[in-house]
Amino acid sequence: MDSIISTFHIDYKLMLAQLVNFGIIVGVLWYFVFKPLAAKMTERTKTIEKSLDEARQIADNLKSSEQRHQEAIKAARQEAEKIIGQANALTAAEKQRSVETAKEEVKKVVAAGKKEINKEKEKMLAEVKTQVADLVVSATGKLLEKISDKKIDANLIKETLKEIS
Amino acid sequence: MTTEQQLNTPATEAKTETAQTNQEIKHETTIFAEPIFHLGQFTVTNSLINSWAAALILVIAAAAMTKRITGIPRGIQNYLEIFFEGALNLADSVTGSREKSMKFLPLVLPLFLFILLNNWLGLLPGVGSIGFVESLHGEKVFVPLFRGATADLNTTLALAIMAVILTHIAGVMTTGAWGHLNRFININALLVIPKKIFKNREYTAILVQPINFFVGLIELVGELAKMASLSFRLFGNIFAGEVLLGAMAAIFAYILPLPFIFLEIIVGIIQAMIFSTLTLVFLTIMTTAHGEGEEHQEAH
Repeated sequence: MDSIISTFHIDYKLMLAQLVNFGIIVGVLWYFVFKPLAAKMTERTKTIEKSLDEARQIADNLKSSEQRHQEAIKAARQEAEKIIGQANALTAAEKQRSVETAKEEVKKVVAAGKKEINKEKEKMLAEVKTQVADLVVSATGKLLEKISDKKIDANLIKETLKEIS
Repeated sequence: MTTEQQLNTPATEAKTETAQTNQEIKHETTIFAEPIFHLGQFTVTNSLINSWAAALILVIAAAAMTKRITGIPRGIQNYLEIFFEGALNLADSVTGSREKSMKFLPLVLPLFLFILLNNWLGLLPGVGSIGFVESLHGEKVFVPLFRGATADLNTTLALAIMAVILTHIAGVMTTGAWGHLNRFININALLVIPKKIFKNREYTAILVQPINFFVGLIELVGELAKMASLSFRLFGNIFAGEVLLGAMAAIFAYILPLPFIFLEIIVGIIQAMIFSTLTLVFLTIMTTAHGEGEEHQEAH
């Protein structure tokens, strides 16, 4: 051991001096570089992780929002289809009812028309009969005037009137 | 001590003659650091001057860096963060935990930087070649003003002793004084013998447990070996590099040393890396509970 110490000039004071040197370096590097650098890097890592979490959350929200949006669109479409279906059904029923109403109206009008026509016809027939009877009477009268047999005339008139009526 | 100052080229065992006295001036790359001046009773060596220079450079660099550290990295901070992140990842691969890496790196990284800078400062022109001539035992000897701090065993031994002591402090703080003591003086191994024999019927314990006790004692010797291996490996490599460069310069001073300087640059990085990585490994081992690995294996 002594030979090693003397050969290499080992001196505990020099060793201590080197250690003090190194200690200063450790202290200075720790205080001026490692501590602030590690703090900044940790802070940045936390910020990045937080941002990533937020981005992930936003993406999730967007995805669920998109899903909700699609679901809403789907529901609206289904509702619209349902409403359209109902409207179509209502329209068809209304149309049918209108047609039926129109038909009934037409029937009523036709029936009324027919009734009026018949009435007019009867009236006309009655008038025609009256006129024909008057005409016949007049014609027969004129004819009988020429024949001048009042008894025959009277019988003839009666028979004719009977036939007419 | 100082007689006359002059510029000289490094040479191992090379001898030149001065014009004034015709007396030979010995140029030797000594295995120890030469004293340059005294501060009271304290002797300042040429390696200590280099060590101060390295410390000064690192302190100035650190002080300059602190103003530039911002939330949004710019310029040199980007490189610093890449280096720091790389060092953290490397430390993670050794410690296996980011928490441990963050604890040990403030010690291990300055160790790496200090050793690296000292290794490289020893390669600068002027280190080992600028000096003065002094008379020693009737001979004129060239004494260089600067010497790579890691080419002095005082530096490497001091760092090695500090590293090993710190591993033990970390071990005591993590596993407790009793647990740490049992790593080397395994009293627990002897205390469990009756339990293993009479309760668990493990009769082999009477042979195995004393062996475990002696393994602990061997580990104690291993701690001294750690200091020796750490210090002599670094010192040996860097000193050998200086001798090599001196020899090459003595053969042909202009081009020949260049490839070896590049080699020594790489050696400087490797040796700094080895020293700091081994320190980190020792710290990790010491802060892992004794027998944790065995229990883990038994559980499987």
